[in-house]
Amino acid sequence: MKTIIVSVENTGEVQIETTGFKGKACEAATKALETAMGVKTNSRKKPEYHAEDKPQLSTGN
Amino acid sequence: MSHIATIKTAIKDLDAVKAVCAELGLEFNEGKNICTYYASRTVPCTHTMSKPAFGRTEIGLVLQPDGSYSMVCDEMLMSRNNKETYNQKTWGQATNPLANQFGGFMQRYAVCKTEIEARKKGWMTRRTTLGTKVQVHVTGM
Repeated sequence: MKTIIVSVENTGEVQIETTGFKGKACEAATKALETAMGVKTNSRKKPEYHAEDKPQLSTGN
Repeated sequence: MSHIATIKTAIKDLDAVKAVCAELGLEFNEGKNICTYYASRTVPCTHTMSKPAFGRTEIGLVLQPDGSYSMVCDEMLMSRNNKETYNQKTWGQATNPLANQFGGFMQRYAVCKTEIEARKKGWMTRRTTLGTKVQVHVTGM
């Protein structure tokens, strides 16, 4: 299931994580939210971000 | 998960501010451009928030050139020791949302803003508290 998890510290700092997305769809889903919340100070991609960009290899069996 | 973004919250949405006010029992005074401090001192602002327990003392929102709002209020309201002065059930030492440079208020704002933005897209939200952190799980996309 596609989920966006917004974690807010008691300082007001926000961390937005996406789960269940493949490829760049996660960025499209959170872009408006990130812009609405304030100023992005850091962003890092998880391995799944590149999942759809890599060609699928056949095992040939 | 596929990416993690860190955001410094900026107050820009008065609807989200009004939602925070409703949660904290604050009255939002839109357009009231004088914020009253202790002993009737005043500072200019754009809007104010008040609470009966504060007496005449108010919290002010000041519009910045970039469209965001900064917050101002009398140091006494931000004090960690104001539980004797104000409603100790909701504004005690550990729960004062104005303490730590308005950290608690900013946290509520970010949560309410997330819920507002999710609703605009027809998504569902579920709020959970983990210690001092609040999480909003957004689904339905």
